[in-house]
Amino acid sequence: MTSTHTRGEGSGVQDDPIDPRTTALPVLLRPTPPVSSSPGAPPASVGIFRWLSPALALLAVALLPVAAATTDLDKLDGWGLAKILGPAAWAALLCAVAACVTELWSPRLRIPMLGTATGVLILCSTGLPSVVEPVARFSTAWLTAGFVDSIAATGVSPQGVDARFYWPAFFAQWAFFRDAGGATQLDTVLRWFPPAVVTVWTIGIYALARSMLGGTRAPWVAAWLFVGLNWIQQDYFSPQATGIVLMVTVLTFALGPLATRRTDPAGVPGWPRAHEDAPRLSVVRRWMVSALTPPNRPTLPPRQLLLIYFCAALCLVAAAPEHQITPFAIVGQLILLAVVGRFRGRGLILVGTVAIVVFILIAGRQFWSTQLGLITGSGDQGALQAGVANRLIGDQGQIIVKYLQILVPGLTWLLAIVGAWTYWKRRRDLVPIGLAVVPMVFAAVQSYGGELILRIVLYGLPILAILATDALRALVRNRGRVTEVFLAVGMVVMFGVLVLIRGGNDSYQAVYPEEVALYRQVSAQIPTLGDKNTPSAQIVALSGLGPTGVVGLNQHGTGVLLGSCADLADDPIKCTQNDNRPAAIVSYTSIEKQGVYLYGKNPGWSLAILQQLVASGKYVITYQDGFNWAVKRTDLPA
Amino acid sequence: MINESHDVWVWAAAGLLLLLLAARAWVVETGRARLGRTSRQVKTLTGASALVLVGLVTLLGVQGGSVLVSSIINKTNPYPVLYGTGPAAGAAGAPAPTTGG
Repeated sequence: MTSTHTRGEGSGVQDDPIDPRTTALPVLLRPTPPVSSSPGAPPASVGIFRWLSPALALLAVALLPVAAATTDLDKLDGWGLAKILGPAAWAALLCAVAACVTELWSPRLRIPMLGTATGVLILCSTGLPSVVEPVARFSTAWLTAGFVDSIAATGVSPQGVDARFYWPAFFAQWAFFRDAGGATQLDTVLRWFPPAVVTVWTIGIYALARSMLGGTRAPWVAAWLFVGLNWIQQDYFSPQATGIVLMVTVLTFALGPLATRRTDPAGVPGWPRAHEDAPRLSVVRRWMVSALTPPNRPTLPPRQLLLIYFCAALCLVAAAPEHQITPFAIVGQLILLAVVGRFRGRGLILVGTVAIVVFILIAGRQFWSTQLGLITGSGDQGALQAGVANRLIGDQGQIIVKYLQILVPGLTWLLAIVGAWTYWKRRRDLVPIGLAVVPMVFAAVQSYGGELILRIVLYGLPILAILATDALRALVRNRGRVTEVFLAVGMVVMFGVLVLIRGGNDSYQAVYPEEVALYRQVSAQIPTLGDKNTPSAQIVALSGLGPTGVVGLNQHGTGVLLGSCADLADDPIKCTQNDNRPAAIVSYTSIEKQGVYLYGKNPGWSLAILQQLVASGKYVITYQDGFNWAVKRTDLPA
Repeated sequence: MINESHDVWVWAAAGLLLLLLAARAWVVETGRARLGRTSRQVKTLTGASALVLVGLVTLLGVQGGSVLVSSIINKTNPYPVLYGTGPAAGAAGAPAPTTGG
């Protein structure tokens, strides 16, 4: 006979030899909550919160045109955008933060309102340069548009122009969109791409945080933290921006609908807890027990699971030709999750691996057969040296901004580690922090891309932001309302710093419509020289800035000379007096400002070079307006 | 030297592997699995997937994979092995890709 009831200590029941006391825990009845005497009591009134958040969001958006009109881009210096922004821009940012916070504090959350407030916050922070600057900033974004233009013109990737063409999916995709839309250029897309793609990323972070943190408010905070800590600026028109979308999508599937846990027979996740009186098992034994416990299954219907498998596989296959590093980061994270039994569908790892290997080995054969050093990292300086130490140059503003660029990821990691500890105490789970570490491994094992060591923080940032949110949530639960106010002030500071860091290089990364028009005009007028070894020597910029390469990539190259003349501004005369000299040279205001604020050159240095070029007799001026100028070889037809 | 026209077999093998994995996922998720048992269909598809995977790896090795691995290990230039004589490594006139601006 077995006992059918449990008894607690001191229940007054004597030990019965026929029905002995069990060791099961007693069932404790929860006290019934008091029932209101009036059954139809209305819910708590939202009061002013009903209108506060919408009003603040509207005010923030309304202030943006004022901010654009009152920002004088000619005054940009080493401090970048933050110094020249008027009160309207800062007020818009403040209102956007306030709209988010007030809705979060509302007694009744409205998800559409929180979504709208988050969108406004992105527009007023990440999107601020898009609002106040007339065209997209970043020379790389314009060069990417040139890649798209090249494929749109010929239908194929050009050979020998740039190694990025070996991963052509993004360029081909936008060439298709451009042709399908009947457009001839993507200037508007370039300008608004950063806030648009960050919005997509943020949706993914919200979905991830809902799976990992639960609750209704914490996922929104995670999304705002992600936006506020993302200074890394990989959200311009680029393959890696789309790669992050694919990565977050796969992670959301793996940690959401496909998530599994290794549980003990009672369904409790994590390491099985030993009885209080039992001797503690060794760590190895506990790991073995945990590893050999089969993971449970997601509770979704089979067809939904199959649809998710298909979508995840599609993302993995799409990532392989999209970007060089992102597919490795995704597969690395999936491998970690598979090892610890945290997602169903381990075949996805095989799909991702096969996609990467087949694409690189077969489609990228021309790449690795000629650029093997990029894979092995040979011939490159240390990643830490290239990524951190070499960046600390420029005037006072530049130096401070770059120290902040190092400080913010450091603080992010610190907060995330505290969050990992909180997460561990709550869920006995260290896997999330591992997911953030995995992409960092790629920075350590190879030296691909000079600034990789800082920028690869972005691959871990979704998880870091979520863990940091867990730490902040624990803090608020322990300390109460005063801490919430303190954190709201901290959010304002964080977004202010974000604007400072993201706009820190805008004195030379900002691009102006006249610069774009200048390059397009020069590209249209300069004939393609037949005696060049490569097209990269046709039209050259004094420095790798501005919209160089936005058109005519197949005819005139990417605007950068190879070898010792890569930085033409350092020694222009030596590189422009031989027979293989560029057909045309261009320079912009941004190049002049880069020399002044980053390299400490005297104002007017680019005009001095212009005079030297003309005095040499090899070049003649075809256009000049301030620091924007273009020269062409004197032996070319007029 | 490799024959690039044989690349089509690599793509075909990769496509076949994806199809087999998809079919296996369908059978696993829609079938009525019993604890500790694997159905014959699943076993067959797993075996077929493994076979195709081995074939794919072999094809990849023949079509350049072995050359890449030996070049990385021995730090040699793979171009002459793949295409006969040719330019040295890094001389294709293509700037290094970076992670952005």
